Amino acid sequence: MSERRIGVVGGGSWGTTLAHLAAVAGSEVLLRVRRAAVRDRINGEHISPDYTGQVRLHPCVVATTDLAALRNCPLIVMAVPSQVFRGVATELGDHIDGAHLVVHATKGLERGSDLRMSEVLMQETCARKIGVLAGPNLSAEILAGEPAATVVASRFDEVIEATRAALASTLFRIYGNRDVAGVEVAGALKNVIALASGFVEGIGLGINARAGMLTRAMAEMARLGAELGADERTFSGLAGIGDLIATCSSPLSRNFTVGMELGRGRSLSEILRTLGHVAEGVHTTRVIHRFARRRRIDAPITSAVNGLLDGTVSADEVVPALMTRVVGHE
Amino acid sequence: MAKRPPGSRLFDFNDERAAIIADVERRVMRAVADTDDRGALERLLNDAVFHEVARYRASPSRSGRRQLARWLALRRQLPRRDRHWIETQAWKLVRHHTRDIAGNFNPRVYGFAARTIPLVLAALLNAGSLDRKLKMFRGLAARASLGGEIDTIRALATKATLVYVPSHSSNLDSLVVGWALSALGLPPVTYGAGKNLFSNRVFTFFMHNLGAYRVDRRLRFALYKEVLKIYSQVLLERGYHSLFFPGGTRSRDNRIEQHLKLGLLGTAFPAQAARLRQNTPGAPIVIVPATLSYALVLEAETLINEHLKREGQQRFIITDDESSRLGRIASFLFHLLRIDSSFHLHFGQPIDLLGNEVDAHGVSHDPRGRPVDLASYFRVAGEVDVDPARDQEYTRLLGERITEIFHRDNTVLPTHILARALFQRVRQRFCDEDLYRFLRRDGTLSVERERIEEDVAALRDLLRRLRDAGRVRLYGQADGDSAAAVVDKAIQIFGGHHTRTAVRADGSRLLAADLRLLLFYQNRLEGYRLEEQLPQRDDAASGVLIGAPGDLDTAIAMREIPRRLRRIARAEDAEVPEIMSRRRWRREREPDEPDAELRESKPSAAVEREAEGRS
Repeated sequence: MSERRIGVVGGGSWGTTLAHLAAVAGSEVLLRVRRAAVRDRINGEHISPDYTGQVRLHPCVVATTDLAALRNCPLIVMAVPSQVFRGVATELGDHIDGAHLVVHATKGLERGSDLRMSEVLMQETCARKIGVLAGPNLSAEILAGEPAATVVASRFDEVIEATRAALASTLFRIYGNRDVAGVEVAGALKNVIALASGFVEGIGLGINARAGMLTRAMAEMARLGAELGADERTFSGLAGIGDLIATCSSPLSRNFTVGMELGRGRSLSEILRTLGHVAEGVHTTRVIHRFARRRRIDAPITSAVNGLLDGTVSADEVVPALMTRVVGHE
Repeated sequence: MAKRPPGSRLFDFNDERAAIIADVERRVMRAVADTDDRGALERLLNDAVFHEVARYRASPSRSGRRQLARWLALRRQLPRRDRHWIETQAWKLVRHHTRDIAGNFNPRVYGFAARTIPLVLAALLNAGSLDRKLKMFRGLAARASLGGEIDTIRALATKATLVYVPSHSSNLDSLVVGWALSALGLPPVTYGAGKNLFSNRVFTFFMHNLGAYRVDRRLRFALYKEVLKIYSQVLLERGYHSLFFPGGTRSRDNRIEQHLKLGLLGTAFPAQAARLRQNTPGAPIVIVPATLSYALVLEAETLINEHLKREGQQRFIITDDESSRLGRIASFLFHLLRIDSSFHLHFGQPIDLLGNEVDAHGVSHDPRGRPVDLASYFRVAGEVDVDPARDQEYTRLLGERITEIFHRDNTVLPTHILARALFQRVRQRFCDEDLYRFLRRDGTLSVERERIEEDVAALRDLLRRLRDAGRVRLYGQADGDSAAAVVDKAIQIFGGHHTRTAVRADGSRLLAADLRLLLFYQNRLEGYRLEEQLPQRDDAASGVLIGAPGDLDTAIAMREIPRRLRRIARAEDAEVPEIMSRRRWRREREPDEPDAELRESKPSAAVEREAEGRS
């Protein structure tokens, strides 16, 4: 059983869910959380009320606050928000060596540096066998026992195989992919589109408008992604269109909510004040918009969303502007 | 006897040569013959037959025909013979090529070369008295800028196996690196040199006796490549410091290598695993990226032409370029001696095969400075082992890391800056034009010097910022030089070597005299995304004048010719209707006005006169 020992870093909803999935798959799992109180409730009552509500976790999920304890896990999954990712990675670097397999499940690009999380891992640790896990995976549904599929991308087959061995079960189907950059970029870009999708909903447009926008957004995503080093095919996979469908269908998504409020004509600062937290897509939109302009890539949807966030374009102007652009072939 | 720098394994090479050859032969045969797949060896032989037959069919020489007959005979027999026969044939082939590849190291030649290469170079320069030659050489040493992590590398020479990976622009690179190593007191290295380089006798002598092994690029069959890889692997495993050009060949377009040829680099991984398993002292194999920057590249004209033709989908091989003509090398070196900061060789941060920085004690560190256990990367289920799929990915990561270091350690010189500024501006003016069409505008485009100086200033400021951020290196006086000084220096350097100068100053204008050379030199600044970081300007294409000042003279001259003809015709009351051949024109004039002056100057005219006399 020792080969199927997995460490999960991050006691948020996704980290806890991944630990639960590993236990369901029969792996020995160690979940690293920051707060002792959370640790005690997981170990004692098998619940983590802040993140997974009253859902009971698999009893084999063992929580710890000690990152060093993960040293003995050959596979480590990082599921922490992008804002704190670098700090946690640095800390993790104290405890791992070149044999460790490190997979992250964090979406978005690092603020300031605009780096992908796998690049941050390379800068902060000695790990080389690195992978990324992403897909249409809403924690609540998985914890409710519903099936889901995901993709793990790594240049090392060993990483894909180990992740599959540790996490795959009848609940969770894991596909492999070699395009690390593609899966990471898709995870970031889809947040921009979630904003746009929410906006379409908020402004009160129907299904035609939303489907049209989403399809063109996919094309835009692939165009931008290719420029960022991704393989375009990745965008038609689980991490691309799969995750996009999930995010844009879920009213629970923060990005979707922000987009919706924008569509109702509220300003970003107002929305963020009432929401109480920052939506990842806001930052990503700015980064991608800057990037597209620098590289002269045609990205009308991103730039429209960016205009809405900045308040340089109003909600009623955006749609006519997008509809009257020069049309080419699909 | 030659002075032996510490860590010079190569001095023992000749004692071990036979053992190395035997080891290589044994391993290759084990790799190809000891498999369950009985057909594997036959397929390898068939592959060799296929490639060699094709190669000798194309060669018209007598020995080529003999070889062709041999291979055809082998091809006929192959399907009818048993496994033993096939193994024997493969063994013969492996044996032949291992011996052909294996180099030689002659400590006496090394000692001689270390003392005299400077003199040889100076002699090539034909600089007169010995005293003056020595002075010239000191000039070379002063012009060359050698720098980088030399103390760390020197310390590592006795604790690790070093693999130097230089960027590759010129056939002079191996000489320059070899000279630099000996000048810095670093141990000599073994390296693969293209067999084509052995065609020049001076080169052959030095290469063959200074530890170079022969790589025949014409041989394309898999078995040969296997021999080559195992040879390199065995040398690394035995701790011979080596040198690979990871770009494979010289950079044709002068860009810093973006995609490395990973074949030979990949041999370091099984060698590293073997050294870790045996727990050999000095176990780590350490990569030393060496970035070469030339203000002028000896073979620039040939290289860029080759690149352009290749991009145009025409495959062809240039057999005679500038580097095979000694006179050309001499004039090139002579020119290099006269200019400041003519070339830079930067020995970068030594890294292990995983790209971690290695300190003077041979210990790897992660980017946060924490020590890293090298063996951990090679463990499979707790034991150090080889895993080809894993090592292939490691090799690719290493290649990316080396490319990154090449960019960081590249020294930007005045010629690169001026070429970039000038080329970008004239290109911008014709940005919609196909590159090949554009390049034919040679010598017809000029720009106000003032404009170029503005561009040079902006570029230099950006490069300074990048340098301060550690993303590139910039020549020493860059901070003191005004934009005008940068332009002047570049023009002075360009003026010397190439058959055509790239840029010519013409009063207040700069003429883009050779667009292909400008493209070549400006390419050295590709890969930094400079255009995205430069201030956007609306007038980026302005100030370009079509029809160069120099060309005007020619145009006037061209117009003048028919005018003069007409004048002559008028004087003779004859018509000069169209351009006719000189002979016909003369013949038609002949009866009235024999052109005595012309005849005297041309010996063949006498013959003509005779012929006319007879008629």
